[in-house]
Amino acid sequence: MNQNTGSILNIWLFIIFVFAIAILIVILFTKNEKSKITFSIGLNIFLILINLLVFEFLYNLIFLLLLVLNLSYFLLFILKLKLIEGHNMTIFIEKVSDSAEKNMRNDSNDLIKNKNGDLS
Amino acid sequence: MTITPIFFLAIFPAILLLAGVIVMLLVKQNDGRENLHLIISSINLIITIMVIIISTVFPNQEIFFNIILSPYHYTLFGIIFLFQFIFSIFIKYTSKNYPNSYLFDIFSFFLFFSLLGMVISINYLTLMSFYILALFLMGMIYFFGEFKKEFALMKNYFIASLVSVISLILVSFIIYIDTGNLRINNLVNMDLSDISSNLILFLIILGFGLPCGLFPFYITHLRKYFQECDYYHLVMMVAFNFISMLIIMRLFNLIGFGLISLFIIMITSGLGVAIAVYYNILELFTVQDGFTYSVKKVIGYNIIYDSNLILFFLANFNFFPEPFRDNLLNLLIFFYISSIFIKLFLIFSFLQTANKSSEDNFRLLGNFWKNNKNFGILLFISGLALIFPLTFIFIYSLISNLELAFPLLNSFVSLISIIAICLLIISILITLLYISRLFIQIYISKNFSYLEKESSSQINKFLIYLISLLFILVIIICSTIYIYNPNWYLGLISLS
Repeated sequence: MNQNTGSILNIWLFIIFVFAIAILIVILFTKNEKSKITFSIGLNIFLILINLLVFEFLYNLIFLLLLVLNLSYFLLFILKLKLIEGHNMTIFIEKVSDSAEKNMRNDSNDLIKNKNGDLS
Repeated sequence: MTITPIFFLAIFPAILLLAGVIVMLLVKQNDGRENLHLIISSINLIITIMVIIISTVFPNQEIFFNIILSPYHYTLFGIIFLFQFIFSIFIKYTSKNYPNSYLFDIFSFFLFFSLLGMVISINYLTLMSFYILALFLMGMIYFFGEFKKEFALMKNYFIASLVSVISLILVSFIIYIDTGNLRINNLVNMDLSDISSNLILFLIILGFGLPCGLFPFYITHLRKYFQECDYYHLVMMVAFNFISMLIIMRLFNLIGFGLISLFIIMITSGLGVAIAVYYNILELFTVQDGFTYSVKKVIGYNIIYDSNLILFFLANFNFFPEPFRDNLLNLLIFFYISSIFIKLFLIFSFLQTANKSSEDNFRLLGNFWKNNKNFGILLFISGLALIFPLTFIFIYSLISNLELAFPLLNSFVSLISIIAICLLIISILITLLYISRLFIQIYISKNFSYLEKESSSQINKFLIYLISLLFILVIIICSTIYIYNPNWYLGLISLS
């Protein structure tokens, strides 16, 4: 009896796993950006709730890894590909001081070259 | 699995947050968000206060799948919703509507939901799921402020997050292989080998501590975060840091300490404290850190300093003999929670500054006393509250315990205790120093050259009085609980 219940539970978990993978594939291949965001956040909610209810190491771990995968893709998609362009008020550049320093160094190198008569 | 009506009442705020996420996801509306945040956080706070009151009369523990709920957890809910309330006030007065701001709302609701999840999970992998979610959302939410930010600013943060995720997954493997179980509340009965327990403790500090500053070198990934963030991001970072610290304390309490882990913690948190002191002083008095003189950076470093110091004390107090150990741990958690409230109060006192201008450089701000006395007084009171009752109670209780415990300690533990007390005194001095410097610069000094916001709104005076009253009440309640109910605070880091 217990064994049967266990196997049924595992079958359900497997179905949920396949379902999650299917949603992830849809997120990867859909072209519509708004749908991508909606599905991705929806999948996050789904996975976190499933992980709250399941108590099996393997499935917990699988759902956790799917969550990490989904979050990483979402992060890269939304931020790295600069999808959010709406609030374009100021752009912070990371290494202003470094680049400024590099320019100054280049300028002084040019000056030295010029002084030595090397104009190339 | 016994569930009472209190359970449903207690998880209602979590369901409300999740509903907020789903509705915002479907509606995708950017207008009226400031009131939505305030309404949801107020409802959450009121319901949780009701639950806390009911649960003190009828204390009950409930376990539901991977969740545990008890009066201690309701108290932690209350603290999280207090964070959310302050967060929503900052949203109301300092954040405008901008395109895609609905994504910020979704992430913020989801983040508070995951903080709740971290507090109540009893399965290690569930805890990890919530933590990883919070970790990524903390990074993402940074990009959805009033200004557009480059991805490169937070590159180091996401690298740190990746290291954190890998180390946490390793911990889950070690625990599962060693014990065959991932229930956190069973860890106390498990006999972990010396090597694995030390390894687990190190990986836990690396995993839960690295992204939020409880591990040295946070300066590489959190400096830009503090500098370019808004005040509501800062409130969120404090909440995240606090909950992560609490989880670390809880896991350490369950697994127990060895001498090697004491060394590890001494080195990591000692370095963390030293770096925070160095950068705080740089930020306050010199131009070394890029002429920023940033208020948010000073507060951010100070909060990290506090967490590292608490970790240092935690390791130290675990080597005390039994009655003193519990007393001192109890005292430590009381001190930590109260100091977090005071820091939150301190951040709240900058509401008017943030409302008037986006400027963060305290040398450019000034002359705020004339029309904004209330906030100046709040800043001043936050400094005073740190000295009395908080530091007074802490040092008084610490000395009374040390007086009896010192002859029973070995010389190494005594030496660490003395170092920890010195660090505590430096911490309080630095906090008082920056509070007084900020007070003088922002409220007394007549020199200012900040750019005023075009649409700064009038802050409701009732709200200021309400928050002040709430904070004073909370500090009084914390002190009263500590004085009249010994060992209550220990319940917050145990799962029984």
